[in-house]
Amino acid sequence: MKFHYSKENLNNTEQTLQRLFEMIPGILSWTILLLLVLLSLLKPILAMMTIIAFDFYWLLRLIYMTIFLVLSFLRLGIESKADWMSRVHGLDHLDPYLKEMGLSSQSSSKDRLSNSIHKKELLHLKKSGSLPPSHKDIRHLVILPVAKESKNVLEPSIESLKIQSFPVQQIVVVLALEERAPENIKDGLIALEQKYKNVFMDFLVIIHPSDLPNETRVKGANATWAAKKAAEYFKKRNIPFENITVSCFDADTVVSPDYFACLTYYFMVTPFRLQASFQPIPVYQNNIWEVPGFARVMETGASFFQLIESTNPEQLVTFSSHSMSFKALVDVDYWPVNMISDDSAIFWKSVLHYDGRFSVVPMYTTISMDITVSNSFWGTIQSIYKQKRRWAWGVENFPIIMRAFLISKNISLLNKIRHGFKLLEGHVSWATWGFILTILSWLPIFLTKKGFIDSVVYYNAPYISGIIFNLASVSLIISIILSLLLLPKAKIRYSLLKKTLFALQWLLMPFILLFLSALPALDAQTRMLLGKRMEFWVANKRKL
Amino acid sequence: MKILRRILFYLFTIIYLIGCPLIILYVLGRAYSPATNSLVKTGLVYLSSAPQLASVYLNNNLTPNKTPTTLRELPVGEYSIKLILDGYRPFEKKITVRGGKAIRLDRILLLPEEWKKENLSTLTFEELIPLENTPLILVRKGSLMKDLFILQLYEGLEQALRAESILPAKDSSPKPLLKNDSPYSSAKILNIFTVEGSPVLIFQISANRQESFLWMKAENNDVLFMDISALFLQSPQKILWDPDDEKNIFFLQNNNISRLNIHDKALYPKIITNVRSYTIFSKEIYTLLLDSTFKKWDYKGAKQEPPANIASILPIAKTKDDIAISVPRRNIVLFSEENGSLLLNQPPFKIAEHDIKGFKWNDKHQKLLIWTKNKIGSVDLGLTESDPAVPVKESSIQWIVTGKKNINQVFWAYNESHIVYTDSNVIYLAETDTSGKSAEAQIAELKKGKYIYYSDLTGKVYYLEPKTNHLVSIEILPPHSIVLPPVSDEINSLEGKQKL
Repeated sequence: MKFHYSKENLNNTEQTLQRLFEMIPGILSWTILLLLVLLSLLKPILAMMTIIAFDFYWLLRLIYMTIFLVLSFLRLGIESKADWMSRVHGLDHLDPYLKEMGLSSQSSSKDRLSNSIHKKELLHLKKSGSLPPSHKDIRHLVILPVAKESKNVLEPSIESLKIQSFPVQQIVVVLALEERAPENIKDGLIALEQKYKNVFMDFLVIIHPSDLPNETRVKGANATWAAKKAAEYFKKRNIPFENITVSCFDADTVVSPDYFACLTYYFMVTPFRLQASFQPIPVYQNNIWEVPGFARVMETGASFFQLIESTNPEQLVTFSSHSMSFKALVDVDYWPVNMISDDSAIFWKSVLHYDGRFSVVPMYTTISMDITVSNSFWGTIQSIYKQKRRWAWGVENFPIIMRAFLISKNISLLNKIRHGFKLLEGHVSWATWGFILTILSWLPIFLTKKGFIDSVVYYNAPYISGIIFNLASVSLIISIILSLLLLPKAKIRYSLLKKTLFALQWLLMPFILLFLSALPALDAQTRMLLGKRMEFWVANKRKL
Repeated sequence: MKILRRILFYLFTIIYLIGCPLIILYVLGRAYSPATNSLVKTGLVYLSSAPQLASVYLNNNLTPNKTPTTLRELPVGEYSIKLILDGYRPFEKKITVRGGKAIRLDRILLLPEEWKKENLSTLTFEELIPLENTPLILVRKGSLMKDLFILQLYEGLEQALRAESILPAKDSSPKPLLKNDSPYSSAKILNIFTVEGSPVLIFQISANRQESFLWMKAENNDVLFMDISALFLQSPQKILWDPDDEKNIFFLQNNNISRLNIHDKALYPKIITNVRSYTIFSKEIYTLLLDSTFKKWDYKGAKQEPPANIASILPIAKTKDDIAISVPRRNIVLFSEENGSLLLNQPPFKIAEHDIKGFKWNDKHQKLLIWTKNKIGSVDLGLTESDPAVPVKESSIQWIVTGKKNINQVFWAYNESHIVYTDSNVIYLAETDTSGKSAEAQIAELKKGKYIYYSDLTGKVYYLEPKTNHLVSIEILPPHSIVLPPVSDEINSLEGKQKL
C-alpha cells in the first residue's frame, strides 16, 4: 500500500488520529501504575491479588522466554562452526549440492543438527522455486553513518569488514558523514578513505548536507542520503538492485569474519529474499570489560532479548545494526528521514509497503558493538538512560502503524491485531513491569493499614511472592551462565575473579530494571503522550 | 521451533488459567478440606518471640516450626499455642482462629527461669533518680553535689553504632558527676529540674547560705556545667525546656513566663503574663492563663492558633486545683489535675475523674498508659495517620493490671507489648495484651518508695538492691531483641522535679 510513513505533513483527520494513537501507550502505562498505587492505598487486598496474578504471569512468561533463550543460544552454538562460504558455493549449484549432502556424514551431533537445519532450508528453497542469483553476482552495501564518531571508533568496524570470508571485492563501504560533523572527524574519515580505498569494491565517503527540507537530525536521514547516492552508483554500473543487500551499521559495529558469508547464505536461501531483512544477534562486547557492571548486565540483557526474539521470526522486528534487501529499501523509499527509531521504522515501513508480506530472517551470527560509556560513572548512567529512552522512543511507530492499519485493506485483520498488540504490549510492559516488580509489588505491605495487617493476605501474599521470585531466580542463574558463555574468549587476561564479579553484577538487575529500563521507557511514552518530540541523541562511544 | 512455541504457549496458558485462581484462593486463606471435600476458610498465626528459635506446639503437638514463624492454613477454631525454649519459662496462649484473618503474636517475651542480675557498682547509694527517655541514670549517696553519680548507658560512638545495628547492651559503672576539685562539691542539692527525653538537668543548690542554679548536660562521656544563677532574679516555681532545644529555658515566676537563652546568657523577662500552668512542645509554649483561657505562643511570646477542641475541656477543668498541661504530640493536649483527673482535647475528653497518679504517651501506637494507686490501663486514641487530630473511635480505658496496693512507676517495654512497673516494694513485668490469660512476672524486690529505671535501649531494669544498696541491673530483653525507638518516639513533655 502507498502510505506516508511519517507523523509530519498530515491532514486534519490524520493529525487527530496520530495524536490519539500517540497518547494510548502513555495513558495505558500510567493507568496501570496509578491504578495499582490507588488500589494499594484503598483496597490493599485487591491490590495484592492483582499483583500476585501479575507475578505468576510474569514467572510463566519468564520461564517461557528462558526456554527460548536457551534454545536460541544452543542454535547460535550449533551454527558457530558452520562453513557459510561452502554453503554459499553449494547454493550456486543447488541440486548437486543436495545430493552431496545426502552422502556426507557428520562427526559431531552439533554438525549433524546444523546440517539438518541447513538441508531443510535448501529443500524449502528448492520447493519454492525462487532460486537465487549466483553469489558472484551479489553485492553488499555497508553504510556506516557518522555524526561525531572518531576514526578510532570506526577503524575496528572497517577492519572487521576487511577480514571477511566472503570476497571483499563484492563489498561497497560507504561512510555516511554528516556535514555538521567536526573537522577532526572529517579529517579522520579522509584518512580512512585513503587507507581502505583499494581494499573493497569501493570505499566512499558521502557527505549528508545539513538541514535538508523535511528532515530532522536523525540517523535515518544521513543513511537515506547515502543509500540514494549508492543507488545512483549501482545504477551507473548496471548492478541490479535485486542482487544487492544493504547493511546499515552503527559506526562501532564489529562484524564476525563470517558475517557477509552468513548474510549471503541467508539472502540466497530465503525464497522471498527481496522482501526481507536479515537480523544478526547484536552483542555488546567491544568494550565489555572496561564499562561499569550495570552497563554490562544491561546490554547483555538486550542481546538476550534479541536471542529470544530470533526464535519467533513471524513477529521479529529489526533492531539496531542489521541488513536487508536493497531493492526493498529503494521500493519503500528508504529510511524515514524524520524518525529516531530508523531500525524498527524501516521494518514497519516495509510491512506496510508490501501489505504485510515482509519479514525478518534471523541470522545465527553475532555483530558486536560498544556499550555506551562516558568519562564518569554517573555520566555512563546518564548515557545509558538516554540510549534506552531513544530505543523506547520506538513507540513512535505505534501511532503511524495504527493509522496505516485503519486504512489498509490488504493486510488481514489478524495480522493487524497481532502486530498492533505486540507493539503496544511490548512498550507498555517495558514501561510498567520494572515498576510493578520492584516497587508496586510491595506497596500494599508498606502502606499497611489496620484492616489489612489482620488479614491472611498480608502474610500469604509476600510468602507466595517470595516463592515466585525464588523460582524466577532460576531464570536469572541461567542468564548468568549464558552471559558467561557468551563472553569473548580471546580476552584471557581477565581472571576468574573478574568473571565471578561479572556474574554477581546480575544482582543489580532490580536497579537496572527500574532505572535503566522501565523509567526511560515511561519517560519516552510520557513525552509522546504530552506531544513532545525527541531529538536524535548520538550515544557516547569511545575507545578506552 | 514454531510448533514448540505453540505447544508451550498453550501449555503455559493452561497452567496460568488453572494455577492463578488456585494461588489467589490460597493467598485469601481458602484451602481444600478432604473432610468436607470443599474449599474452607482458614486463618493463620504469626509468632515471633524473644529470644528466637523457640519450639512451637499447636494444641500440644510439636510442630517443625521455630520462632519466628507463621502457622498457615489453620481451619477456623480454638487453638492453644505453646512456645518452649531451654532456660525460659513456657509461654502459653489460647487463640481463636477466624477465616481469612491473621493473629499476630509478634512480641512474645519469653521469661527466663532465673533473672540475670548484674552488679554495676560496689558503692552504696541512697537513691536512684530516673531520667526518663534518656540513656542516663543519676544515683546519689547523700544530699550534696559530690554525692551524685551518673551512669551513661551508652556513650559516644557506641551510641551512634547502636542506632545502626543491634549491639548487646553494655553497662559501665556510675561515675561521679563532679570532679574532686569542683567548687560545687559541698553544695547541698535543693531541687533537680528535668525534662523527659533531655540529657540536660538544672540543679538548684545551696552553698554558704546562697542559692545557685547549675545547668548540666551529659554528652559523649563528658559532663558540662554552667552556673546560670545570675540569670535568675528570684527562685522560679517551675523550669521547662524543649528536649530538642536545650539553649532556651522557660521558667515561671509570679505567674509570668520568662525565657533564658543559655548560649547568649540572655534573659527575656515576662514574655507571657498571667500564666497558671504551661508546657513546651516542639518550640511552642502552651499555657493555661489565670482567666482560664488556653493559649499557644511562639518563643517570642506571639500568639498562635490554639489546638482544636480545647474549648470542650476548659469548663470541665476545676479552676481551683493545680493543673499540669501535657502536649504529647501536636494538637493533643492533656490536663492533669491535682485530684487525679485526666482530661484530653479528644473524645472522650474526660479520661478519668480522679485518682490518676501518672501517665505516659506512646506516639507510635498512639496509646496513653495511665495508672492509679491500684491499677494500670491503656487508652488507645486510635488517631488516623493522615490527620492526627481526627479520632476514628471513642477512647476507653483497657485495664492491664488491677488489684495492686501502691503502684508507683510504670514504663512501656518491648515496643509497648509489655510494661515494667513497681508496686509497693516489688518490680513486675506484665503483658499489655489482655485478650488472654495475661502473663505477669515478679522481677525483683526493692526498698519501698524507691525509684527504678527501665530502658528499652538496654532492655534492662536498674534499681538499688535493697540489702546492699548497690546499683544493679536485670536483663528483661535478650540483647538481639532490643527495639530501638525512632529518635522522635515518645517525646513527652512531662516535667520532673525531684525534691530532695
